Amino acid sequence: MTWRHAGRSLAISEAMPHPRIAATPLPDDSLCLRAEFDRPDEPVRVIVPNPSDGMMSYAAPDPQIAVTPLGGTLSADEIEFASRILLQPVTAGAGGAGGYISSTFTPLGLQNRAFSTDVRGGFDAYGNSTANMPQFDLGTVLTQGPIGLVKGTINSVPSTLMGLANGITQGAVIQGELEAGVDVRTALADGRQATAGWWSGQVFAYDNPVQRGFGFLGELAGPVGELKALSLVRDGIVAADLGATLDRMAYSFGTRTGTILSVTESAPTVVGEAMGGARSVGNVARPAVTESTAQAEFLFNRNLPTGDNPWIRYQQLVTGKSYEEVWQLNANKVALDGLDSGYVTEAKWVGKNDNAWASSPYNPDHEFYDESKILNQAQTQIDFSKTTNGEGVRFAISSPAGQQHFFSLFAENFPEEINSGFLNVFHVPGDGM
Amino acid sequence: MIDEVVQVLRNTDVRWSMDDVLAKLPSSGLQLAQSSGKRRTFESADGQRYSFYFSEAGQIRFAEATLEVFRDADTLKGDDYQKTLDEFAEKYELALKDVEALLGGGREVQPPAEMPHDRDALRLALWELDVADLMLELKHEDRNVPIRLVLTLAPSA
Repeated sequence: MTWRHAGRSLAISEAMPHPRIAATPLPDDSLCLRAEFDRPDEPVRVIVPNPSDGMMSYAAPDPQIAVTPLGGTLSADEIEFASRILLQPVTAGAGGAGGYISSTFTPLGLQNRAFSTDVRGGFDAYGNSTANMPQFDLGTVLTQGPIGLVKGTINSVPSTLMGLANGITQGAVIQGELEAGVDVRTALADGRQATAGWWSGQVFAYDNPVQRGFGFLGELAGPVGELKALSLVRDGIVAADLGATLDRMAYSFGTRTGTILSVTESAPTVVGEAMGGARSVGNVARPAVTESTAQAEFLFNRNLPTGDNPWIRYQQLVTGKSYEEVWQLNANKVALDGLDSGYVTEAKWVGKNDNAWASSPYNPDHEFYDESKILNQAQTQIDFSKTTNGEGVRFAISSPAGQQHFFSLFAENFPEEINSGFLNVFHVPGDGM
Repeated sequence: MIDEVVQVLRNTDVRWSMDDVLAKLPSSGLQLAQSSGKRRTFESADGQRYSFYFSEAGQIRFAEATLEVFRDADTLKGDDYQKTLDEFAEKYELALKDVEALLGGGREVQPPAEMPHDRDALRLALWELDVADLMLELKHEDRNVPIRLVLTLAPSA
């Protein structure tokens, strides 16, 4: 199966809790992306690279969260559910309830029937790169779009009200259980169970992805459209990628309401920027922090070596860049794999899986393991981030066992930074390497 | 030198347990030099090291003998990194000829092809022995780890 992808990304702003992400191909050749979240304490970003290149990688910056493609075919209910974005923040109160975000990248974002994906350059009205924006098959859109729009407009009232009622009920259950000392994951599951049999609020089903996409547009444009949009952006959370039109509508709404919003474009191969907060970026080489302080000064960008070395490709995958930033920190030069939105990113290729990890020089059993070098590097990056008033340091590790080792090592040696979340270690798989 | 390394690895039975390795290698003139987790490293009189890595069950996962090493790869700037890799590529070619002279032609594998035994190497040549595979590897797994030329023994997949 070949997937087409608009090169756009699902972007989640800085208030987004950790997601658990799963991607599943749907029968209509689109891709369903589903993310669960249950920890509101960390910023996170999910970048979806170009599936047509086989780069099915998802950055899930949480050591406890596995990125697992869903097996089998989704049920009709799941497909229908996944056809819209539902956001139910886990933080109880303030309009939030725990839950999940679920969205298909279809029809405007990822679909290979009605659209092709010619690479086009330029920037839209919001400064986002329009490279890889989808191109419309006008006939399909013109015939199916209005049908979906009408269905969506009619669906909008009950589905939105049911969605909000669903969220409120789940939130109440989750909040009660959390206050009673139940762990987050269990409370989340119980919250969902509380509304598992509820009517979705949908009056008309959508017959195809184009109808579904325009139906969603209709729901936004309907009598409670802004309430629906509010459910997308409340608590600073926004999931984009329903296509440029919906992105812009959400962007417009977020701007008018002052809600934090992020609609992010990404280069097709970018998986990185994953551990930082959201920032609209193109694929432009530039230092992320341009100002210098008395102690830290940006010197230059250093190109990565050319070659097929897995560590080079992995670093590019994680950071989305083919260069490193070199800074002067006090008397020392510091090379940073990535620096975005205030986060220092360090990519560590430790083998493609846990079997390969056994022979990695980063494995503490290995003859060439150098713990002092690892700790010195982490210390330097922590110092850099603190000196520049940065958000913290994020290590991306290519295997789960490697991630566990790095996390344990840092927890032992940098307990304050680990406990505060200033330093964290994530498993970011190097799919396809 | 390399023929001695090949000889030691060929004489190693990959079905040995850790206890077997600890008992038998000293009789081959190798002394235990270091123990760390599931690794046991032995050293010959001329300083050649052999690192044996064991599974949780105490069986040999693989054994590495590093023939050449450049430790400070992270300090290399610009073209120096590529020059160093090129130098190692030449060493790899020379070693390849030496091993081929002993074992015959090997099967060369190069990324992005699937690497046998989940090995992580820029270049790899493999010789199938009775119950084991012998591999010559040019390795540089990350910027902050050494560049190495390695002979590796692993149980046949």
